[in-house]
Amino acid sequence: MQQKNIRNFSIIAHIDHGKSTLADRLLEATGALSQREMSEQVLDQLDLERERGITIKLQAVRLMYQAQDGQEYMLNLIDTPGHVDFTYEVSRSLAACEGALLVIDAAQGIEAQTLANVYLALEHNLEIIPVINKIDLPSADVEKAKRELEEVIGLSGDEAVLTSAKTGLGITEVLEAVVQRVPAPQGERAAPLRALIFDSHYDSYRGAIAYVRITEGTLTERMKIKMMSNGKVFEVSEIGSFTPHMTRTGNLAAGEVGYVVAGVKNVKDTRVGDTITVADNPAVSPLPGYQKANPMVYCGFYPADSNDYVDLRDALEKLNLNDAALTFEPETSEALGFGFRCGFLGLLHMEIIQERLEREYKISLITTAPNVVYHATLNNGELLQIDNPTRMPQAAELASVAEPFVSARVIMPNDYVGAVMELCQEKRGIFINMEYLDTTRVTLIYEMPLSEIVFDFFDLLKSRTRGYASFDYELVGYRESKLVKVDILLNGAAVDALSFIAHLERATKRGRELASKLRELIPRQMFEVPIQAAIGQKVIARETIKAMRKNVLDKCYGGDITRKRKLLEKQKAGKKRMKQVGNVEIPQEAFMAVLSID
Amino acid sequence: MMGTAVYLHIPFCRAKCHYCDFLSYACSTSGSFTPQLYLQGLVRELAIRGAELISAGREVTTLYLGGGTPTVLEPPDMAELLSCCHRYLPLASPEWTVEANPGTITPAAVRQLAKLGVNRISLGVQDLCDQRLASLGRLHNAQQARQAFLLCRDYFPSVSLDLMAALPGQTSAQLLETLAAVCDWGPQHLSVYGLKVEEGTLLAAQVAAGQVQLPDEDEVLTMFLAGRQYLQSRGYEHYEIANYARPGHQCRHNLTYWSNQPYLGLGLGAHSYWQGVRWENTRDPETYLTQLAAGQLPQAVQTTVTKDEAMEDTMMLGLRLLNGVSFADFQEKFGQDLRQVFNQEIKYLQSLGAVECDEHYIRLSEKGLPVANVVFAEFLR
Repeated sequence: MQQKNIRNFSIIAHIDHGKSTLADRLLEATGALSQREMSEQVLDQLDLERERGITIKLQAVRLMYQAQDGQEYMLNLIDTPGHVDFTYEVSRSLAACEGALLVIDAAQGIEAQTLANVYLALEHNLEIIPVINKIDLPSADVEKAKRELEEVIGLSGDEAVLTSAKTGLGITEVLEAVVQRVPAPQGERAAPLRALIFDSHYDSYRGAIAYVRITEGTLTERMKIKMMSNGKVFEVSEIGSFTPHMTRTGNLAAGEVGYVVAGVKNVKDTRVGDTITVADNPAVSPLPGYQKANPMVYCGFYPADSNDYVDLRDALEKLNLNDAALTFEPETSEALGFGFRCGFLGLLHMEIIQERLEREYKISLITTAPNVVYHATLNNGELLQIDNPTRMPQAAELASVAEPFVSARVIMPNDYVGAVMELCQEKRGIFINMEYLDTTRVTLIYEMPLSEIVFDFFDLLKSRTRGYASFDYELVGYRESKLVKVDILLNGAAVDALSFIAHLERATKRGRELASKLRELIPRQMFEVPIQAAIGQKVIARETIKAMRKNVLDKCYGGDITRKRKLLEKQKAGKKRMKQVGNVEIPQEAFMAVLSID
Repeated sequence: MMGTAVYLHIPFCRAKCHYCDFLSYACSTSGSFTPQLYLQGLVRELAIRGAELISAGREVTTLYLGGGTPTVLEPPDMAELLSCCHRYLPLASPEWTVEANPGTITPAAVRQLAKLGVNRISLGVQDLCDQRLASLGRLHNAQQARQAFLLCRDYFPSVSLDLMAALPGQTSAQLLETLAAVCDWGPQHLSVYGLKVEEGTLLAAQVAAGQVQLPDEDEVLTMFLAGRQYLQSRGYEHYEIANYARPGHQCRHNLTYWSNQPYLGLGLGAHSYWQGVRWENTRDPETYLTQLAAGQLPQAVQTTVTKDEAMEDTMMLGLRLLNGVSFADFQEKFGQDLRQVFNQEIKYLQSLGAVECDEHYIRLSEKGLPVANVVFAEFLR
């Protein structure tokens, strides 16, 4: 297809503003899928995505549209994830587009992620088409949404397309706006090939499949291609586009979006952000790639049953094939045995991986409390990256410790400003700015330690603003903090998996609260179990789990041995769900307990 | 000849106690499920099982009538049932126990039981505090309990009293008072059961609603240990977690269960362990009666016990006995060394100090006794 009839665009939105539903309507309206094939939210393919109503992996689809000007257009829609954890993936898809639909919920108005996404789109010089969605809702306030667009983002409210993706209202207008306002791609088709890999996935039959946007040149089957990052050469066996099923087309030309199969056995050779060129007529320079997504949050995954260790490793490897942002390396805990220290983009990413391991791979996991990466400088000047609290050196060896800080943006109705400020202060936040979006809504900018957000910030924000606040953050760098490691000792022995790092001023309080929480969570044992929280040698909190006093079935159930057995088996099953550390049996939830204090 | 234990279930009571979840029905003389109708069925079952025992060359060495409350049966009905036992079962001067409640026992009934061969009575005294007895839904008082005991003492060589501990509002001092009083009466055997709140009982609802306060774990432990010490000082041997006996008066019938030996249970919902199979009779009165009327056995749930399970059961049950489990008996029964089969479990429990072994036995330690469930559960794989 001629470039002038191609449009590449994304949809960006705050979570729940109707992005996936709008995408589904576009597919339906252009006949990409028959009604029969439509299941709710086609582009969210993972069960988890559908269940939680969120998009995790980006997806691409080609729509053929007969526009009102009588011409046929090829519209390539690249769907984006809608959660702050996955900002990185959003950025990737935006790099493959010339325009973006900015979806705003007519009842909610602009939210924190709306802004974050707009800034990303502007960075990529995209044409932004505002779409005010859910206008069918009784609480919809289109005029207010338009005002916010103008005042907060600086886009003309009159240019906004009004839709209800739910009822199908305004879908044609959206398609026309894409055709008329999104610039056609430019790029010399005769030039040496440059194709940006914006995603990839692993297929057990065909190997690694690269999702590409052709910037210059043409890609055809049987062509020898070269990965510009490592120089490896492969022969293309199949080229196609997403309709949204993979459909073979035989070639892709500059401006188009599709997939390439080239017998790539290792997903690492289709590195996202890499540029594909032709082996015998290579481009001079690669396209600007992406920065590698660095994990922000780490935690330990341990199989509840140590026999599942190999299964866990295999499952992580499989997940890693399609999720380069996930990192994992083996680690050993004295308490939990063999497991993996895993890195994630954020808490949601962590929860999703955890759920997928448990549901798709049927592995029962013990998860340790998540933590951020600390930078520790030793007295001898050596710099250590600490991704596990256990590895934090003793205070005497440390010159300083730095922790990641983020710039957090919270948007809320003005009634809640006080409550949110209080929360941010509690979480060691530093006030940066406050702005009124309009007469009733306020944006607060705070800089705060990521570790505080990893704790329970989301939940507290939600409860203190009754769900009316929205939130987004970005990393601003490492800053020195007075941080200490708090160890937990059970029966006199430190349990490594329970150690945590806290700010000096809060360490005692958290240590005390965790000790008290553990006393509730750990059942009585045959003997008294002292719980201590300590900073170095100094004990800062002490609790005692009393010994089990009486646990015996006196009653004689006649000859009903089965009933006795069942009672005991129930007791035994409870025990099996626990991890034995020394002589103490610890329930799985105890390892996450540090999250539920404060 | 091999000895056999036989249990007969009488599923009738005057009234349901507030804590009880055993299978029993209010005793009525009309309706579709009367004691008379039930006994017709039970006697049929007795006849079938009796014939089996005889053809297998077995003798009945212990016979136990439990319930419910067997003594709610009218004297002629009771006489008929006991006669049928003589008629159909190969009795070999068995230990013959009947459970009785103080409120349901009369001099005439007692004389009749003794005359027909019963030689052991288990009296459900439970407590000597009238107020607590009433609040548990018991129909007798302390005075009636003492009278019932005195009556039985003259007719039976062995009288056992059931008592309860850990009752709502009960203190260990009160329990000791009760024990002191009953020891003065001089029964041969005592069972002291801690109250257990069973789902679906009135007591469970009362506890859930906060109307009834149970003593805390520490107080319950004190009751158990102080009670044990007291009874031992009065010459009773603590031979099973909840049971105490004067020398020679251990309950042989219950020892069958604890040593994981076979037994036959007859009657509604009764349990049997016979030739490697455990089964439960139907719990539905109508099914019970129709099946027996048609000459069929009313067996419901049935499972074959594997050797592994039998070994586990032997530990779970045998460790209830203070003597413990004999290595020699285990070897003889299973052809394997207990210490090898349960090597890991024993090591772990020894590290906790919950069990101890000598040359011949493994048993609960003083420390393991109050938390014996931890020990039992360990042997279930």
